[in-house]
Amino acid sequence: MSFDQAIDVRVTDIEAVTPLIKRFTFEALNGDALPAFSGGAHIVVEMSDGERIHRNPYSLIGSPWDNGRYRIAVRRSEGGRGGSRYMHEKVAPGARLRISPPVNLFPLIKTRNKHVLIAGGVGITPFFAHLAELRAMDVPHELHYAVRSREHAAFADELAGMIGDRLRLYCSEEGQRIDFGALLARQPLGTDVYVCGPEGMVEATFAAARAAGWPESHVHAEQFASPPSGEPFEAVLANSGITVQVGAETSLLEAIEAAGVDAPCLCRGGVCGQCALDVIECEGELVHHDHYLSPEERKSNTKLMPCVSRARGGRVVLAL
Amino acid sequence: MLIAGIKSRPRYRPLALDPAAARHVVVGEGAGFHAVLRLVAEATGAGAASHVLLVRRPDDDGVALLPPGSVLCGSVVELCARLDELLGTLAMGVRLYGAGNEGFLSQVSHVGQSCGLDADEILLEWSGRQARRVYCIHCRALTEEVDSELVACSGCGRHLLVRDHYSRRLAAYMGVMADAETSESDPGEDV
Repeated sequence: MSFDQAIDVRVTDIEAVTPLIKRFTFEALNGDALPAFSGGAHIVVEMSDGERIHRNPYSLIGSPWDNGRYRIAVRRSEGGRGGSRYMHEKVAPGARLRISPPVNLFPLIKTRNKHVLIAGGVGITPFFAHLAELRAMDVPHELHYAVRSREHAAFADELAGMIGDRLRLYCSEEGQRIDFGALLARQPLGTDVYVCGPEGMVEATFAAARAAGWPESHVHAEQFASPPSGEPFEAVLANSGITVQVGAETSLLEAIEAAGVDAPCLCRGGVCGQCALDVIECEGELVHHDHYLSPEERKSNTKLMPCVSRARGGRVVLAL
Repeated sequence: MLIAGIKSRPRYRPLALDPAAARHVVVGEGAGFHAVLRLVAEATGAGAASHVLLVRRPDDDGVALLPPGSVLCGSVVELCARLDELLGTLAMGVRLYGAGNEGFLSQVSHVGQSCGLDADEILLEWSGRQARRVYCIHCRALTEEVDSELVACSGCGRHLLVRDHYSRRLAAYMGVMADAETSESDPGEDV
């Protein structure tokens, strides 16, 4: 999103949940209520890190009925581009941040008979608010939560307090694995499965659902990608008459924004499709990292999602 | 057709086995019998598990061709009850196939949806007479087996124009008074 609807917030609480995950609480700077949201919604947090502006999406993990504060969980990523490190190292209680209003790209399908949630690691975050809704709706649900070790499962105690034996915890260090095939082969009609976690987990869920005969309308995934680095390249914004240089560690979207051009976007993670641009000309090849375009669209070389995707081997001309 | 592009109508098409499904439930009525036999043969050929429920007609030859365990019902109501019971025992991965008249398909669809099936898990073939069920928007009576655009309402006797607007909830086409401006008397109106 272009940050013209941004909300100024103050960080009121920071808590280390695991060695790698911190939970942040935000309240509106002016004391107003924050916009309502539903389970699965995320916000984009803007961080001014010196010259660089990070804008990272995070799921809201508080209760959808608490409009006084937002909570997010941030996993520190060492190899990442610096946004999560900034949140972990530079943001202290009392700090001011700008956030986008919430957007939900991973809602519960509330007409279903049963909901099976599958989380891996920090992929647990969108499910907190889902679980709050599911409990209020009183529909059957279960959560399968895979973590590396007990040490990384701090959220599990809170979740067990919320949903009791509807939580199944799997510690990979203890050799526990989710049996996707068995899990999805025995669900009653009208069940939906929601998965958020590493790519392998998402793929395993889709494969098991397909093998058990589930139509894709019952399978949902949230897969925010952070923009991968790549070779520097040049992007010509044909409508704006601007040429931007995209550095190895910068995303195309960030380079466009830094040049002062307002590009449409929403999730900044390759999911929603809002930012897809028409490619007018491409000297090299397009490197797609999104989860939105169809295989045909990718092959056609006519669409590019600047939030996560790049060009390689020459300049690219975009209709922007 | 009075209006093009009506989206409320279910899509009907010749039944074909969905190979992605783990289990097939096939239900039929009246002229749908032949589509059921065709589909069962396809499922058997593919080595796929299928359940069959039929509304029995005395003149149906070939009941012997149905797989063992097929359920023959005395009425659509009975079939729907048995179908509801069966779907309650099955796991995700089912496709429900229906063949018969539109009213039957609609009732079967309702059962499927109430058990949690989506539109993409319910496949329907309209067999036999292409007659429609009409809902009178004035007196709310249903008139069955209508194959004309104008029909006298079975409840109030008004002359109804049958619109293509289909109510999935009521499983009927909307009938509106055709001669409201010109008729001398309104036979259904209590003054």
